[in-house]
Amino acid sequence: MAHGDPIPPGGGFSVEAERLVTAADRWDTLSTNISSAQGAMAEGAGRPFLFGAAAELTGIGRKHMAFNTTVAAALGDGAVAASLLADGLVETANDYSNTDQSQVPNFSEVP
Amino acid sequence: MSQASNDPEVFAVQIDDAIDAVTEAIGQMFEDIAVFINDNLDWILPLVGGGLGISVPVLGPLAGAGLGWLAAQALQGVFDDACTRVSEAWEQAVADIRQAIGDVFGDPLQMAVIAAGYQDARDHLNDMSFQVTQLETYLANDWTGDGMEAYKTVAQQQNTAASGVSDLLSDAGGLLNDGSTAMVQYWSTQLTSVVQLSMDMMAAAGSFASLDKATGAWVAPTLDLIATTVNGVATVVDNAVQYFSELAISYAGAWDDLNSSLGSAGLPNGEWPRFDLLLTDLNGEWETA
Repeated sequence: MAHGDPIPPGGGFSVEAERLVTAADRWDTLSTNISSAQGAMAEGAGRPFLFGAAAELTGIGRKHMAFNTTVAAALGDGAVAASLLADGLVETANDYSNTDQSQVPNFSEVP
Repeated sequence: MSQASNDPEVFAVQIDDAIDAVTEAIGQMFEDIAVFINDNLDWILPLVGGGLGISVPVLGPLAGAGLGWLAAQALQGVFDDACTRVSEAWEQAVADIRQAIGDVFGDPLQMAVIAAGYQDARDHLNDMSFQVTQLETYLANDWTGDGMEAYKTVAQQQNTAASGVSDLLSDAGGLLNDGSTAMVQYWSTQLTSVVQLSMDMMAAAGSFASLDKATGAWVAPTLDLIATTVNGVATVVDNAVQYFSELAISYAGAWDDLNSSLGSAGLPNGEWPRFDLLLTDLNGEWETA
């Protein structure tokens, strides 16, 4: 079992633990959405002369690239963060159900 | 106003066509003059001196005596000189036009594509706020404790970041769309200027047809052509300077503002919010309500 995999006890999760697992599923979906948002920004990467060569005297192309790079990277981290939250909620449910086999803390930070 | 395409490749063709039209008009004019001179050399020569600044006494007797070679050479020299001056003026004009347009030869089509991508990204983030709020209520019905309280804080940070990025993408998409529109407008202005230059050049070249070529009056339209070229290019260059000073600098400032607003948009230090400080509590007690 990997960290973040639900391990229900023999009779299944309690109502409370099941809510944590359900919430974790939603965070996984949010993680996918954030990742998709990052992918949708890909067209904006690596185009320093988008605004023309002379306009680059003002640095406008580099400023746009900086924005695109920064926000895309943030979204990448956001997708990981949402996924780690999901894993943490599942591990919390496992903990509560006394089925946790993981040796690491339930919640961990984006590397 | 001539409408420029937002596709740089198509716009380049539009400009090339407009420039080619001028080049062809100039070439046609000189071809007409050359043909006319050749066809009528025998009776032009005795008459041509005054119009060309060459004394009739020099040309006339030579031609009249059947010794037209020297006079023909003189006429050819003036004609060649006019051709050279117009050609050089036009070559410089083409270089200036291409420089003015090339400096602002961005990619408005791609800007629009990127803006659409930003909108697509926003669509993926749009219902996150609703879902995070819903999840908080959903979990708070059954859970309390330090862990749950820390979760609420972290979830809210995620929500703020997603909402902030959505707003940033909206602003960035707006800037790109505005920039795209402004560049196409600039291109249209430049295309209009070059097309107008083309029309002026053709008019100047066309005026040759109504002149008494025999007197060498075609020298005047060649000077008109040069003056028209210089004026037309000045307009093109002015357009470029105006675009650069009024729009490019302004847009660069707007991108600066956007990059400066990352922190207030939920991305402290330009990064997605970390929850290092809340890990202890997140991994602490989760108690059933």
